[in-house]
Amino acid sequence: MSGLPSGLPEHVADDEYLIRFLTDSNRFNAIGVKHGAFLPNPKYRNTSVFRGANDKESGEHLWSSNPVAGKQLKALAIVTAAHVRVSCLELKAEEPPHRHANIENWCWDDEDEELAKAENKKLAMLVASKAKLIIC
Amino acid sequence: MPEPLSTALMLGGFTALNAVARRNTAVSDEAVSLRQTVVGMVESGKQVESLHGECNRLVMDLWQLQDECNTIDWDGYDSLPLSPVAVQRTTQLLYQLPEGFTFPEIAAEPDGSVSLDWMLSRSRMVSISVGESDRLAYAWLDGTDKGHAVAKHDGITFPNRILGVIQSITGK
Repeated sequence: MSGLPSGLPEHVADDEYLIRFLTDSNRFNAIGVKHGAFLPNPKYRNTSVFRGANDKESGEHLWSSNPVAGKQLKALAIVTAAHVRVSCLELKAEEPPHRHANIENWCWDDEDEELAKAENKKLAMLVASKAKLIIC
Repeated sequence: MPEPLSTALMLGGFTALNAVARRNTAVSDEAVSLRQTVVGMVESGKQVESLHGECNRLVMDLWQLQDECNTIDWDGYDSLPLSPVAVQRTTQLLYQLPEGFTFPEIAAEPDGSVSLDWMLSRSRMVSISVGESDRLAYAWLDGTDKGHAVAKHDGITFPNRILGVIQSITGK
């Protein structure tokens, strides 16, 4: 039984593909996805992703359903939920937007922000190292 | 011995720097001030042979990045504008990188910091986050080895602890 408008289950399964839309060319290079693509937003303390796309066509379709005003889609970074969890991060479905989820459980320490940031960099590197890059 | 920023700029290729510095874009007073300094140096006849061409190119890239990321939500994910203080500190660090070291790629981070990235492969990389603080967050992956730490930047020299990590990852 689903509690989400998209019909997806609340729990993000390990074998689900997650997509991060990249609108900035500094988020990837010839080698692959850079860790900056997955760094958490400091305001929300999470990283926004979308569920269920594993190729260019489905990824672009998902983008067309959830476009960001004024932004051009440059690339897609795709990773499995299992790879996110291996890095000690967690996933939480959150709709709307359609098929949306957040990568949670990043490190925050108001007394030593830089050390927490360094740890988040490492975690983002681990996720990015497993991500597939698709240029749009 | 690394050159101080002012000396490095004087020794640099100012024709291109001047072109960037003169651009009229919506950036902070600090950034405008730095650019005016460069313009002033050019106009006072201090243009000499470039000894820091690669570094100057990176500084131009940095300024361009600042122009691109100077508003909130520049990436569609509510990221903060690039901090002018972080840009100035990054400029210092680039000129303080000892000779022989590979120059990094630069990128903006969601909190307004600048990321200096040495990425050799998907599992071999080191990255420094340069923000408004004098404490630099950095992390690295080296195959199955990984780590993260913080190092203080005194504003004069590139932190030795980070140089050691860069050297071990890049081999230079």
